[in-house]
Amino acid sequence: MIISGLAARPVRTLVSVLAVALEVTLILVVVGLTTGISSETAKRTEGVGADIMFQPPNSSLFLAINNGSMPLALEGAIWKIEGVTAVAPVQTLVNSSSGLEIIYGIDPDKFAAVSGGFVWHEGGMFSGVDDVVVDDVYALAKKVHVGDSVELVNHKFRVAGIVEHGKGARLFISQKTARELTGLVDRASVFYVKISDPEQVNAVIERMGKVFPTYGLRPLREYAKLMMSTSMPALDAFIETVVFVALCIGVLVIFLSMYTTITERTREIGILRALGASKQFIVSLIFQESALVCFLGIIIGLGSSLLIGRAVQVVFPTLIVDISLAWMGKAAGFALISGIIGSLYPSIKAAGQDPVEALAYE
Amino acid sequence: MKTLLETIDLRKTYQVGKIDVEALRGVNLRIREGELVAVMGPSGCGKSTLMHLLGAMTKPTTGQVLIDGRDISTMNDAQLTEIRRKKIGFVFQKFNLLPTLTARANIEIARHLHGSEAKNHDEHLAQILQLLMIEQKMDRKPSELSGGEQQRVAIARAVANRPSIVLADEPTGSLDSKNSEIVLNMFRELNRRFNQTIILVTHNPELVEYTDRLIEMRDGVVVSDNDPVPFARESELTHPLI
Repeated sequence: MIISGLAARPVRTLVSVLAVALEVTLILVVVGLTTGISSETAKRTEGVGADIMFQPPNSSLFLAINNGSMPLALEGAIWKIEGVTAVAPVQTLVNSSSGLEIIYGIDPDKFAAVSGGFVWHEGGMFSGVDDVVVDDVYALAKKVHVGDSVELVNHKFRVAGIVEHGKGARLFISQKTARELTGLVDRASVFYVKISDPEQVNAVIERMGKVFPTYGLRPLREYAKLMMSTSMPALDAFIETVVFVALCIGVLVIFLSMYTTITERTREIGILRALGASKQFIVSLIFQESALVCFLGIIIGLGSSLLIGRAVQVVFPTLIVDISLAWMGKAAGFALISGIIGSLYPSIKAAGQDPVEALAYE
Repeated sequence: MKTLLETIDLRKTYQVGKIDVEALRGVNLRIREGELVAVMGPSGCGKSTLMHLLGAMTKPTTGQVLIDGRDISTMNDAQLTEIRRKKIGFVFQKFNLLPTLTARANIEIARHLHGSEAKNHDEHLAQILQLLMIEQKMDRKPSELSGGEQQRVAIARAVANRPSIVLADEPTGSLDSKNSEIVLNMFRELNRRFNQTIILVTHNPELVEYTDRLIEMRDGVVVSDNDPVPFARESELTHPLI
């Protein structure tokens, strides 16, 4: 009866199913992109290989939005902390002409001392001020090879080398070039610090804190955890807003669909009541139809989210859509909740209809 | 014969805007098991209201409706629903089959609502379908059936659970004369063969010849009743000392 009821109104059923699918897709793709990008950034930052991240006071975890910078001379003071074995100053630049990309201005030797050096796919380290080293993901996304030109921060660069991804940024230039592009002389946005015994990271941070009490000192191995949405209130609020909007879409569509269904089927409800169907039976009938619509919408929504995630990665390899099983479950749950809320009033209205009046409905 | 249905000073008043309309003004009836009764009267005489009350679809304003000895005027919605499910079978003028379901599914839904007892009625249902000559039409949807066939499916649905009473509201109102005759003969056959109690509500005088008893209504009251065992006489038989 439920299937035949839905099949009798194919267009409305299809629209309702697609709306629920849209709800699921909206949640999964937006959350997937947000968490994907942040977790991938975190992994890359962790991939630098340092033990401690040394940042200016009141700095953000997002290196791209750090305006403040520190004197390069701090490097010497950091070296004096007991247990420090390598320090790599990095000046970050943001290229926003084609998406949002962080560029690291590095001293190759110091960066290699912390990170263990690059794994080269093509070419080699930058030698001139117009040279840039890119990672393999960027090279694939932009379809560039060694010797090709790329435009970054309104400056034309030549690709000097292509390296394995996972060392902080996707683009690397020399400190000298970074200095020229930012106009900031002898400054660093972040110091990556390597210590002799990673187990002693908290002790080293404590010692650093006594010398640099206002600076941001974070163990790198906790960076990924800190970048997760639960640790970032703004990201959390953004995701909650997206989920709320998606939930509203689902509730409204299911409500409209079920409300028009019960209005059209008033006479049928009257027939069922005359046959001895209880109010609970009518409520359950409406809920079952709604649940079936939600179920189909969830299946299509999950499928389309995975397809969109895959398509995004094919078209934009630098974007990561992280669709986790946990969020698939949550999105399905939200779709079901919207189905329940959306069909609550229509089902109660249907069950409350007077059988005599319902039978007389034309 | 056992009394299945009884009304005592039955009154029903509807409010239309600010005006009270008295649809029934004190109806006293007694229907016994196995009777085939016609309730006849002009439009607006209260016969459909009477049918809704006898079928536990609504409650009286005052008075009593006793179905198998139980007064529906004091029942809540769940109890009325239970009475409809277990005791009553409805046949409507406009057939009222569920349009998205096949004939078979229309009958099955009634059996499903009736509950597990329905499983014991398979043989009975087979006999009904044979009698109504719709065995070959069971996989068709209402839109694929003629009016007469749809009404026969509706009758099968009404009697599938062996209800105490079948209430038919203008069952031939949407049928041509040939199909009307077929349907009325089937009602009579159901009554004769299965001792099914049937109340036909109609304004069509031709229908009367198929029934055993005629109750005529006008302006919300019973004006004539050719009850073979009149109310007073039955009372005497039941309570000879009174």
